[in-house]
Amino acid sequence: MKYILITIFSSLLIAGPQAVQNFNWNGVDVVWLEEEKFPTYSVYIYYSDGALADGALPGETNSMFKLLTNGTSKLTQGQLAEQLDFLGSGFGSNITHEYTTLSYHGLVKDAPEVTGILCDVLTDASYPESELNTFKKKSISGLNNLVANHGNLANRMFRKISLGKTPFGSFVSGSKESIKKLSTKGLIAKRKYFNDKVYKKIFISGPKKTLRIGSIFKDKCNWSGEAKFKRASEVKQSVAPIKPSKKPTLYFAAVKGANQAQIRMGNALPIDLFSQNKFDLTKLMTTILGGSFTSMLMQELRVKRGLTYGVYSYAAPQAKYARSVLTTSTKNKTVVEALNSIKTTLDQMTDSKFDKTRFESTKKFLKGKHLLRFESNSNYISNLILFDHIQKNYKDLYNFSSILDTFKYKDVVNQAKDVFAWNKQMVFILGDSSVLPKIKAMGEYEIKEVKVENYL
Amino acid sequence: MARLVGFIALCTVFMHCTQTSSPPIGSESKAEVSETSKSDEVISETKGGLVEGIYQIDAKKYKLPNGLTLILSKNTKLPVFSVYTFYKVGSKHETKGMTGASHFLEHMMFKGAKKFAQGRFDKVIESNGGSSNAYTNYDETVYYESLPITSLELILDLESDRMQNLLLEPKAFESEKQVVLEERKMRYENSPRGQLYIGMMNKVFKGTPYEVPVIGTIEDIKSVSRDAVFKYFKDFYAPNNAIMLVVGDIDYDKTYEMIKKYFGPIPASEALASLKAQREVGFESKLNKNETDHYQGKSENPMFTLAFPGVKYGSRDGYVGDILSSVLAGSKSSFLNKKYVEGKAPILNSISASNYTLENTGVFFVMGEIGKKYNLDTLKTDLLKDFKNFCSNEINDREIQKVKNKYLIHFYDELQTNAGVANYLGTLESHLGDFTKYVDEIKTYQSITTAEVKKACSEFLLSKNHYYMSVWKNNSKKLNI
Repeated sequence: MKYILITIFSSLLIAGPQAVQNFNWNGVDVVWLEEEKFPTYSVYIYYSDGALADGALPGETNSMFKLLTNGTSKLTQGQLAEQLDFLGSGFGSNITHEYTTLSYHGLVKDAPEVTGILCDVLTDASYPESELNTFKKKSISGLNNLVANHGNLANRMFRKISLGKTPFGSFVSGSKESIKKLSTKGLIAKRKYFNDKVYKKIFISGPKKTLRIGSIFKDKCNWSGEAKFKRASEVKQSVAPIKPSKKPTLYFAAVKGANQAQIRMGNALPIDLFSQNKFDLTKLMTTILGGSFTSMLMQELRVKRGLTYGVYSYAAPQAKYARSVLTTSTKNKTVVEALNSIKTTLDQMTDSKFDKTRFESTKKFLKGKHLLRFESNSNYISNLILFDHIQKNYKDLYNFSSILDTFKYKDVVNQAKDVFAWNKQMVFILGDSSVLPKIKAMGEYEIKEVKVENYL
Repeated sequence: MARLVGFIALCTVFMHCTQTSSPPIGSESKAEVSETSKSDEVISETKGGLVEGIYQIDAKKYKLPNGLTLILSKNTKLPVFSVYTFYKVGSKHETKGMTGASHFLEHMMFKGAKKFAQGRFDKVIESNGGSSNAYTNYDETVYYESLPITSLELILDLESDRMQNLLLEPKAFESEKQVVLEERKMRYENSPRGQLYIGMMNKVFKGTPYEVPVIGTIEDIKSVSRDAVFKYFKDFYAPNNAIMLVVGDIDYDKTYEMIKKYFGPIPASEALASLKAQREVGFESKLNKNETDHYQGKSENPMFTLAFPGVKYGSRDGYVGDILSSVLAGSKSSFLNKKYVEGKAPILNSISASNYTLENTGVFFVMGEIGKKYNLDTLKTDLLKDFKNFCSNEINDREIQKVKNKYLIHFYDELQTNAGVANYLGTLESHLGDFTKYVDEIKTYQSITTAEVKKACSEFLLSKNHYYMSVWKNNSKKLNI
C-alpha cells in the first residue's frame, strides 16, 4: 500500500496540466490555453470590478450584464437572440463583489461573428424601457418565489447576516427595493464604465484559429490598455479579525410549515488568513472538516447519525475579504442533535483531536482532485482568473501538491482556530417556528429572530 | 504538441520533476509493442480522430464469458482515468413494497463489502486522490470514480468486491434510511419542480413500471427489509447485468487483463433473464383521456407542466422529438420563449420543453412558472391552441439548423472529460447495446428534416392525450406519492 501511494504522487509530478501562453492585444492582456482536439472555443473576459461598483443601487452591475442582449440602437432583443441562438452561443456572466466574468463559447468557425456581436452589445446595449420593466417584474417575482426554496433562501439570508457590516454584504442580484429603482440611463452609464474604464483580461481556450478574434476586440470593442481601473485596489475597508464570544449569536428565521431546518454557520474573515500559502492551508483544513465524503462532519452527521443528506464546509477569499460557510439541513426534531454534533466536531478539530491519518489522506485526496480539475478547460481557466484576481502566481496552482506537503498537522489546527473555532461562529437557522423553543432551551446561543421578508 | 508544451512547463515548475520514474500502472509504455495483441477479443471499436467531418472517440468493446460488457477508451491528456459501471437495474424493476430499492442500494454500495469493509470504500478512493459518486434512474444505476491513473487496479479490485460481496450491514442499513428520507424531502417534498416531476411521471405512466418515483415512497423507504434488498442485489448486481467503462490514460491490453482478473471469476446471475422478462413489460402510457390536477405546494408562483406520452430512447422518432423540444422552447429565440417569457408583458417567468426518452418509452413535456396573475386553466387552453399554430407555421429550416448547431457544440462539450465520455458511451451501450451508435446519433440529428419535425409535432402535441398539472400554494389538493 505504501508503495502505491508513493508512486501515485511522484507520477503527478511528471505529467500534468498544459501550460498557458500570455500575450496582449492592443495593450489588453490575453491568456490562451491551446486545445486543438475539438473545433470549439471558449472565451472568458475578466473585469476587475463587480457588485461593489453598485454603490447605493445593489443589482445594477448584475442587471447591466444580464440585459446586454436585450436590445441595441440597431437590433431588438428578439433579433439578437435569434442571431446568437443560430450560432449556438450566448453570453453568460458571473458577478462577484470584486470582479466579473463574461463568457461565451461555440464552434471555432463562428468565433469572429459571436465576438462581433459581443462588441456590438458592449458598446451599444440600450436597455429599452419595456425590456427593463419586464426584467424588473420577473426579478421581483423570482425573489417572491424564493420562499419556496429554503436552501437558496437560507444561503441568501446568511450571506447578508454574516457580511452585513462589510461592503460585501449587499446582494449581487439586488433586492426587491433596489431592482425597482433600476433605470435605462443608469444601466447605460454602467455599461460604458465597464467598457471604457475597468481593467480587462481575456482568457481563451481553443485551437490557434480562435485567435483571429484579436483584431475584433481592438476594432469593434475599442479595447486598449487604457482601461486600468481595479476595484480591489480602491477598497479601503477590510474585515476585522473575529472576536471570540462566550455565546455564539444564532439568527433564526421562521418559515411556516418547513419540514426541514436549514443550518448555516460561518463568518466574514480578514484576508490575511489567506495570505500566501494559507490559501491552500485553508483548503486543506476545510476539506478535512467538511469537504468530502470522508470529512469529519460528513462522517459524524450523515454516516454515524443519519441526520442529514449533506453537510459541507468551505472558506474562500477574494482580494479584500473572505468568508467561511458551513451548510447542512436536518429534520426539525433533530436540530439540537445536529447543532451539538457540529459543535463537537469543530471542537475536535480546534483541540487537535482529529486523526492524523485523516490529515495525511486528505492531502492525497486534494492532490488527485486538483489534477482532475485540469480535465475541463473551463475549470482550469476559472482557477487562473481567481489567481489573477487575488494576485497569486500561477506557479502556485501548478505547485499545489508540493505546497500541501509543507503543511504540518498543527498548521491545520491553528488555521481551524482562526476560521472555525466554535466561539467565532455566527449561526443561522431557517425552519418551522417549532424549532425555536428547542434552540432556546439549549441556553447556548444569543438568539436573534429575523424576518424573511427583510432579506428579499 | 499541446501535451509536449504542458510537459515541459510542468517540469520547470515542479521541484522534483524527473523523467526516470517508472511508468504508472496501466499507462502506455513506448517500449512495448503489444498494443493490438488482444484485437481478436475486441467486439467493436471506433478509431479516434476526424472521420467524415465527425470527431470519433478512440474506444474498444469487449465481453467477458460471464457476460460483463467492457468499453475502454484511451485519452492521454492527463495521467488520470474515470471508471463508470452501469448496472441495468433501476426503479422499473422494483415490485410492490420495494419501491426505491435500486436507489437505496446505490447508497448502500458505499457502505462496505467483504474486502473493503464499512467506511473503507470512500477512504480508499479519497486517500488515493479520487472522488466517487453514483446516480439512479428508472432504467439503470450508475457508479463512477475518477482518480490518478496509478490507482486503476485498486479501483477495479474495489468495484469487483462490491459487485460480489456487498455486506448491507444492519446498523448502517437502518441509519441510511434516514439519510434517504432527508434526500427525498430536499429533492421532491420541498421542491415545486420535484413535485411536478414525480406527479407527472406518476400520472402519465400510471399502471406501468415507470409509475413510482425513483427514490421510492416514504412508506417503502421506512419499511423495506435488509433481506429483501439483499435478494434484489443478488438478482440484479451481476456481471451479465453490468457495463463497465474505463476512460483515460490507459493501456488497452493491460486494462483488459486487469478486468479479466478481477471480474472474470464473478458468476453471472441465473435469475436475471426471467426476472427481466417478468418486469420489463407493459411500459406504454395508459393515459386514455386528458387529465388535470392542481396540487398544493410551497411555490408562491404557480408552476405547471403539460405532458404527453412520448417515445423511447434511440429511435429516429426520439431524435426528432429532441429537435422538436428545442425548437419549441430550447432557447431565448424559441417559439414558447418568444411568446410567453420575452417581450413587453410576458405571462411566464420561465418555460422549457423536454423530450425525456427512457429505455422503453418516454414523455414529452413543457414546464414553466407563471409570473403574473393568470388563470392556470386558461394558460393550458392557450398553450394547446398555440401548439396548433406552432406545428403548422413556426417550424422551418432555420429553426432546425439552429438546434443542430447547438447539439454539435454540446457533443464536443460532453467529450471534454473522461467522465463525460464514459457516461455518454455507457448510456448508449446500456440503452441501445452498442456504444458506437454515437456516430449514427450525430448523423441522424444532422439528417432530420423540417418535414419530419412538423410531422412529429402533430404526433407529439396534437394527437395524444395530455396531462396538465400545477403546484401552487393556493391549490388545496394534496399530492401524495
